[in-house]
Amino acid sequence: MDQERPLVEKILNGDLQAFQQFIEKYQRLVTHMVFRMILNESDREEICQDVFLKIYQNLAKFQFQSKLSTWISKITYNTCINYLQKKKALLYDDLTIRENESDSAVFDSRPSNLDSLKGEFPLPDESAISQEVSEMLYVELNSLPAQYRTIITLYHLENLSYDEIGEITGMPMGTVKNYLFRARKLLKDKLLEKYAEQEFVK
Amino acid sequence: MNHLTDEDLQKYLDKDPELNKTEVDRHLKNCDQCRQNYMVYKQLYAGLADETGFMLSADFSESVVSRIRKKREKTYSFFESVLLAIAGLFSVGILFYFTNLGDVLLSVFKKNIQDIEPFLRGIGDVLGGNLTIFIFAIIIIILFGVADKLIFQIKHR
Repeated sequence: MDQERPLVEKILNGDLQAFQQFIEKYQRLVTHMVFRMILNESDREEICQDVFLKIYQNLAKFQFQSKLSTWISKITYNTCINYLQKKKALLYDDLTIRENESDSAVFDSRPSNLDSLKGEFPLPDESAISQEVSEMLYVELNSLPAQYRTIITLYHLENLSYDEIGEITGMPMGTVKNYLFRARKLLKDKLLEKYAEQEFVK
Repeated sequence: MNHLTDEDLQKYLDKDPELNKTEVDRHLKNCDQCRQNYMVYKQLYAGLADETGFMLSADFSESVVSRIRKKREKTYSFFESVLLAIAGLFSVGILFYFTNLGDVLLSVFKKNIQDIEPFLRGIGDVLGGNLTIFIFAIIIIILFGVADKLIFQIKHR
């Protein structure tokens, strides 16, 4: 945490070059969050700029009581939530209906039930994910409500703990775990469905 | 052992210490169905950690800094104008205090008032009041308008 103090102090003294370094350091984190939360591609870069402007305006208020990355994530999260609220986008959603739909879709589209299919079709090499499956995953991920996408991003791309995600989003740890579990299960079912479908077509 | 649940598999991939890893390893070795589920999860995890597609323009940091610089310059120019205005008023005040410019201007003002008197008298008559009060009222309204505009600009900066 203290490693960041000299850079922050330089920025507070008006050094814009230091702020440019700061942006380059945290750009990845902000981009991940904004790109996953905001689906409208044309607004993403401007929102990223707004996030850094807010950071610049409020940096003097940061007291080094938490990790700087957590504080940045909070600002990014709140900026995106404000944007989504203005656009009346879906933030929260009960995934139960989708989970049921996903299960029944797999049952309906196969000659036999899901259990009998499991273990019967070959999966591609474990480390490689095909372009087609990757695109499907991207579509499915973007169809999830923004809160689920955020939690998935913070966990899988930023490797943050449940506690840190809870601090950023203001959700209790139990909710974070629950959202993460349900979103991943839903995506896994979709992926399984896709693999089964590919095999069925062959 | 029963088949592994989704929760078990997610915990296994999350390296959750609560889970008995050895038991899951053994089960995965012997159960095709769970192994397949595990493989799908593994692919999913790989996909979720994939960083492809998160691209900003190459000059992103420069554009943010340039926005800040422009904002700063705007703020400076505003304060500069305020300071100039204060300095200007102060100079005029000094000039009025140490010279007879005030009397000269007042006589010019009175002369002009007399010139436009016929027109203003009409308005004054309509208002039924003193013409001087009417003129001062207009000046005060203008001053309030200017002050209000300045306050609005400061608040919304």
